[in-house]
Amino acid sequence: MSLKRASNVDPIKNERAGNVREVGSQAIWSLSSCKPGFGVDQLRDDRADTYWQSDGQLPHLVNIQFQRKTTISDIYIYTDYKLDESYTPSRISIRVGTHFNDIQEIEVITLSEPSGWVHVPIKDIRDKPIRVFMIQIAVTSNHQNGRDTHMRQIKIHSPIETPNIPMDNFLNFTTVELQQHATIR
Amino acid sequence: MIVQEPVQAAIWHCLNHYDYTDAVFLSERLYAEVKSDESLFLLATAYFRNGQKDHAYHILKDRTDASAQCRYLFGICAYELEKYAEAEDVLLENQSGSNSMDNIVEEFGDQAAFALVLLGKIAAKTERKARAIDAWKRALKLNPFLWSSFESLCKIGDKPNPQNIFQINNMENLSMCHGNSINNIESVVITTNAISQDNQETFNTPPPSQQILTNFNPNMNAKQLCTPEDSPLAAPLCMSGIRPIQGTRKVMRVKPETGSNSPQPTFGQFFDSPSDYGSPTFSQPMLPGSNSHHQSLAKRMRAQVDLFINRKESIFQNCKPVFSQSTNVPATKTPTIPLAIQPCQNVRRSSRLFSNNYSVKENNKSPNRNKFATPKSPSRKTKQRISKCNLNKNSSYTELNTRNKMEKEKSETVTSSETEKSAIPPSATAESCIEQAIQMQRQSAEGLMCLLRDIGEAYLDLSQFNCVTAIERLNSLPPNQFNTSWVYCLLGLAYFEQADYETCVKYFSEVHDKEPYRLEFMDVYSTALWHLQKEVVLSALAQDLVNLNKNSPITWCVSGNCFSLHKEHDTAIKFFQRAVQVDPHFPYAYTLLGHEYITTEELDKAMSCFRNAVRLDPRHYNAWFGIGTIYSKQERYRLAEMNYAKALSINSRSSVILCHIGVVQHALKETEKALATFNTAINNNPKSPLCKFHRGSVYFALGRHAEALKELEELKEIVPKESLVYYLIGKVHKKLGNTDLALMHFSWATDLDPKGASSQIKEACDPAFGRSNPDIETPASPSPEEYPSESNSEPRAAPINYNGLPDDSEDSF
Repeated sequence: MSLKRASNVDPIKNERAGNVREVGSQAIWSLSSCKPGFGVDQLRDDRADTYWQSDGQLPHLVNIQFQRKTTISDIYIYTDYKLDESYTPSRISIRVGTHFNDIQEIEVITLSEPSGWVHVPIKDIRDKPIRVFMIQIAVTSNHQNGRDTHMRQIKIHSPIETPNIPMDNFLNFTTVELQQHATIR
Repeated sequence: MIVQEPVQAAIWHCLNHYDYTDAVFLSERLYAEVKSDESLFLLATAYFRNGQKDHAYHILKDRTDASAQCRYLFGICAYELEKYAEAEDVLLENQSGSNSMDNIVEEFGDQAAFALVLLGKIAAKTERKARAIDAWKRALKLNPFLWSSFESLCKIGDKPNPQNIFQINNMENLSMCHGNSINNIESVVITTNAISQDNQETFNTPPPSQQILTNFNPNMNAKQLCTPEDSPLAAPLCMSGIRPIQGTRKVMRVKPETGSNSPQPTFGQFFDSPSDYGSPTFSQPMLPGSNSHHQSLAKRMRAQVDLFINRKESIFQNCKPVFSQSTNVPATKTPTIPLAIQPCQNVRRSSRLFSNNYSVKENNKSPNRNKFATPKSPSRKTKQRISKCNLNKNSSYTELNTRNKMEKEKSETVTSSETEKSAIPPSATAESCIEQAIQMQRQSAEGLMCLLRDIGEAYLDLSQFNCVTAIERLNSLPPNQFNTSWVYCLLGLAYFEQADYETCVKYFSEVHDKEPYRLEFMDVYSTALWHLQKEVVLSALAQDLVNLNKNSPITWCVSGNCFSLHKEHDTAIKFFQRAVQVDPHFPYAYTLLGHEYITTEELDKAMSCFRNAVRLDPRHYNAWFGIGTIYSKQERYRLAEMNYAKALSINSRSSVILCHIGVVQHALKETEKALATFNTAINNNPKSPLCKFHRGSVYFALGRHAEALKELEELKEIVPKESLVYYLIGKVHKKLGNTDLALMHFSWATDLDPKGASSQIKEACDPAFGRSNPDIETPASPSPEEYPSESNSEPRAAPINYNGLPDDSEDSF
């Protein structure tokens, strides 16, 4: 089952546009609990018909740890109330930091019968993407007060930066005429 | 001996008809029966052609007393299995201590050229460049038909001179190229028994493998081989056991077609003169094809055919003894000479006649094939045409020439003239026929050499990146050769190296339309499409190739390029890795993989990829360029400059490389040098927009606003839709204080690029209002393109927005 694109939320489109990159593959994922066969792999397999099912006490946690400090601009979560009903999370808290004992909550989102991708933009007080070692996505409550939760897919986006180097300006031309000469492949 | 011959002949028969399973089986039985060198060689050949290289390798492995052909085959197997040391040892086995290749000629005789080619390849793989060059040059001296050696010389960076290389100096040379063609002649139709007598007498040295006319089972194969309705072509063909089916008819049909399509080729078609079979009426001296009119050709053909039909009976009878060389049919007069090799030769020879196949050996790397074929296998069209031409050849001399397969026959010292003489019936015209034949041979070869010289010059130019001259030379090839896919591909490549992607794509798309199954150079095509961002065409190309051949690295390179264009870099990486897996010796796959890793910021992996590419091909300037890019991303500009310079030393005309060097120099604060570099770049390629852009930005950074403005205005004419140009002009104006002009340009820039992917535009608002100039505050290089570093994901603000972003440009992480 392909991942449904909500009307205005489509992480893939942004990836294709070349502004951002999905950096989940550079991180180590762990869960607070899961049912066998419904774990991290199902959370990261690009399929909407497989999901993570937790198997413990609220809050259920998804821990994402990077090897280096990574700039994060967006988090996308795919959930579906129609399929999961009481397993659908209703309140999600995003915490970031350096390690387990040093994380702070930066975002709380409330969902109401979501169906598809939920976009959580990550910004600090200065409205810039944050640079962190670790993200923790915590499900604090579910619809209909369910105990366990289903989450079908999570994507993490990092902006493609043009650092302080003249070289990268080569890649930013808008016209094909200039862009084709920008580099040698 | 008696046991061997028919079986051997049968095995060669199977091999010639690609029935490798049977060949393997029979050779195993033969080898069990007779453990001789010859049978071992046959067994190994059968295995090799059946694709069981390792098997062939192992059975040939420990034979220290092997014959030259066995050693050569072992060398090839070892090379294919990447056991280079062993391959080299076995080829140089009997050299006295030193590593020299001088004795190869005596050792290997006819195969010497190929042995040298193999030695060259081994040396190239083991990074002994000088030795490789030496080996290939020697090979070319022995056999100038070996185009692949010439190509390898060019690729490795040597500058061979095509004029000197592609020459046929003497007949000796020619015979070396043909293998035992001279030998082959005897097997050719021999009309009377008397002739065979002549054969005997006229040989200088008694070559072991000369006479076909050995006594054995004359009728067995003869019946199978010849049918009464033989066409003129049939007669010689019988030898191979090939039914010369409808040969005549084919001949007739073919002639007009080939003739009408194109001007006569300079080689390959001239053996229409039917001066064989000793008929006096046929000894019309025939000029090389280029001079002959195809109508007269057709006429002659018809006449020839008629005559043959009339004579076919006699021919048939006379030939019978000859035909069964495979079975060593004896002529009654001639003594039997045990022919270990001859049967095989003969069978192969005649099959070669018709199949126009390039090699009896499958992995025959040398393009010394049918002399009538073009040197590098270009389009099928030419091949077909030439094979049709071959079908036309009726004369025995054509067979002589078509049998130019370099094989493992023992080299003969008999000169061609003698043997040809021997093949002629003792008629008055015999001698003149032979001379004509030699003459024709030479002319045909000369025609090919002429073509090779031209192509060689063009190829040499291309490998030295003198693209303009290369293109000229390629355009001046004769039209029938010019319209081949290979030449078009070379033209495409030449334009590609000049960064003229539009023209390049034009040529390649023609090639792809004509021959959708052609795989070579499609990776270059795909990169050109990538540059031009033609997604649809590239996707279609990828689809086609994936359906065609999943085992070629080129297919996966093209697919990877396609996904990279769609910005799906992970998938692209997956495909490039697949390309590397499929063929670890294909450098371009590594280069493309490296570029993808750079895009996903995995610089260490990218570095290892580029290093692999460079290890495989030190002249692969794209890889050197990639390494330079990595260093520049890591801000190690000095190293970047060095690597770019290395790339430039290989391809000195690329303005893109020069641009990058200029930018790096600018980053190193060597602005004078940078400017000089840009000037060179623009001189090389006056219309290159990139150079102008960077020169303009450097002027701006240096504060030379007037020049910057001039440059950018010119650029605006060339590339009117590039938002960065307007942005830069806006900044210049702002610096100059022309706020209104600046604002105008900024707004144009934003119009052209609303998404603000070039996030530099965000800063436009601030400078426009005379705020603190972000330029001054920028810590690193002065180049105006530095702005993006400070605002990574700003919400895009309209140019005039008082409220927006007061702190942004000053902030840094």
